Amino acid sequence: MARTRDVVPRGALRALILAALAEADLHGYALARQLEERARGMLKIREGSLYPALHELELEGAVEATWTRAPDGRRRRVYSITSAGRRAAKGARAEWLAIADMLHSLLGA
Amino acid sequence: MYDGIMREEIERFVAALAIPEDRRLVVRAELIDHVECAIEAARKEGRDPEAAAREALGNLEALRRSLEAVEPAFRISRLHAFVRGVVASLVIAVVIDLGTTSMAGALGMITSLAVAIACAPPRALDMLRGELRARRVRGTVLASVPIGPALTYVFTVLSGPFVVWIAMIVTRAFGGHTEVDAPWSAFSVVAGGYLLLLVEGLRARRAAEA
Repeated sequence: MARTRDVVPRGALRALILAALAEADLHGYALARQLEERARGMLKIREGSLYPALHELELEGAVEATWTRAPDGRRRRVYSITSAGRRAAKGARAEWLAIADMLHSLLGA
Repeated sequence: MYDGIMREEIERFVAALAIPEDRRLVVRAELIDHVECAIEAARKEGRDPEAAAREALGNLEALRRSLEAVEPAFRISRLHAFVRGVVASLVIAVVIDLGTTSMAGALGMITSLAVAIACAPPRALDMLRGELRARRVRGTVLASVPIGPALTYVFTVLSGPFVVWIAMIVTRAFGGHTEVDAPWSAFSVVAGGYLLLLVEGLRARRAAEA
């Protein structure tokens, strides 16, 4: 199995967050676990980068947060993507796939 | 139910953060929710809840550095940005005016750009990019992006020095001094500001078309 990575490039993390939120509204913990599950153990999302990245995206208007309650009543912030965020997600996806292609052709087998 | 030690750790961590008060509440609620989710998951999977909570909290020093870099920008309202723009404009106008020949050229250009950058709200460039990417709203004449704090600051600092200089010219004219000198450095912030808006505006448009 591939080695687990816990340092995701900042731009890549933003792209991953936007891609996940484009499919469903999620709170921080659920978002981190969903990204890790998708990566099938190859990725560990660090809280030290997740929440600051979410807050940056919120500042930029790419995501918005709403307060809800967890089943036990504690306060929870759920993030959803905005239309500006959907456009940014599309651009970021194309950009990172192009980078991956380029690296694959430069460094690949 | 909940690990009190972790709660204490979270409270201590949040209290020590150098961020606006309302953002402190957001960070606190998110960290508690995050840790509690990790504890619940660990209990379901038969893992040690305390270890899971500690792991979920991760490297607090790294989190502190990142949050303190991001959160202050939430404090910036349009009024706050406008006040910063007015302060920058006054400093630029007075420095260029009082500096006379020494501030007429490159030194004046660099100084006024440096003042505009130094007075800008935290993460102003990121905010500006976000504002330029926002959905356009249709006005009476044109469709444009809504004006947020970053655009407020940019337009205030672009126009503010000229308002001050015009006031100075009019005041001096009443005193009999009718000679007006317009050094190149007076236009550096305008040129820099519009160049920034052009570059970031084009980038935002390209991103929207992609």
